[in-house]
Amino acid sequence: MTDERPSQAEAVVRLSAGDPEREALIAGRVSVVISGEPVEVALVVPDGKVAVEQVLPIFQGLSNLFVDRAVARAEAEGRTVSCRAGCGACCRQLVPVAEAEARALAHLVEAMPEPRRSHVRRRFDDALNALDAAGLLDRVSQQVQNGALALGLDYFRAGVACPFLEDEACSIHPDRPLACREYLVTSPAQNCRSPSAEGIEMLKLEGDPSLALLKAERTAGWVPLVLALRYAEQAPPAPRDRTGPEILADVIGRL
Amino acid sequence: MRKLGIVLTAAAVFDLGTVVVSSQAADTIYMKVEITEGRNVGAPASVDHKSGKANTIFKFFKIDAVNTPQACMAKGGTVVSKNGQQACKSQQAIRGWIEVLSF
Repeated sequence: MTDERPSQAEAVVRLSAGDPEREALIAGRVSVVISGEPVEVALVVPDGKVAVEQVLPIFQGLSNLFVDRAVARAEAEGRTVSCRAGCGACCRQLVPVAEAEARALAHLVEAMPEPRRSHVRRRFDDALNALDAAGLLDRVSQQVQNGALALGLDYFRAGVACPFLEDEACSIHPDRPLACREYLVTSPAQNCRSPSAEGIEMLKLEGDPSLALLKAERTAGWVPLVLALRYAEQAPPAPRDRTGPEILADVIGRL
Repeated sequence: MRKLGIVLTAAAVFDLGTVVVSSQAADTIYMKVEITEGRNVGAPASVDHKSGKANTIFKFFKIDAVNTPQACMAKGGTVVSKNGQQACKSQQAIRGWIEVLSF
């Protein structure tokens, strides 16, 4: 029997991670059936045993795929995404990121040129100080599962902005966390300013790569974005016991 | 020194097969956060440790041919009218970051 699926060259979506100058890469594919529609995805990832963050661009691309589909569906229904640069209301929420994303964000900051790197580090410090002054730092640090809803609301009321927010826009937009990519609304932007507001209509995605990655993490769980730098400094080194394809199979299988 | 080049025209070397993403047919109309004082009105609810208030989250799904009123009630929801549309009001974790925190 012949394989009639599209080849790499015919794939609808092409996602890659890794640097061919520095590591061996391997090509592959997956067919993701979304609402009954198969989407062929061509993949290129490191072949050796790597940390999860080294294949993070694949999951970022999958998030973008689900978001693009959701935006197209909303627009076909006459709805418009309200989110744009200049509105940073949701950037004051407690943002959960995967441990791999926390490490990736720490690497991102470390690679920033001065004086920007110091400015961003200072914003992280200022955010933690503000949370401490509000009596929230301990709760945020404990990754509370019971009472997470109340913590999220209290965090928002404290008004602590994401350290990457600059002029009410994301300063790391191409590298932003999966949760940030997947959080979009079609309701009026001003409704996002209050955690108790009615009329928040979130864009419904057919799949959540952010959740899939969180569920695939095999250690402690999610990290509050505001603690990303501290986590990267204090956590054990990232495990490198799986190849790129093995990591993809685990995360994509949880979509 | 260049270690390895990618040959995209070659046959795929690894194949993850077919992954079916289970998607919910329901479209959310809107979420509403209601803060009730001193009462636990049911899951999912969380208690604010400082004030003792129970925060109840409701989610509203659009009623349509797939998500029928019967299906809504079978899941423990209530059929209500919102903005001139029928909706299923249910106490479920809201989608988004707060849902992620609760998973």
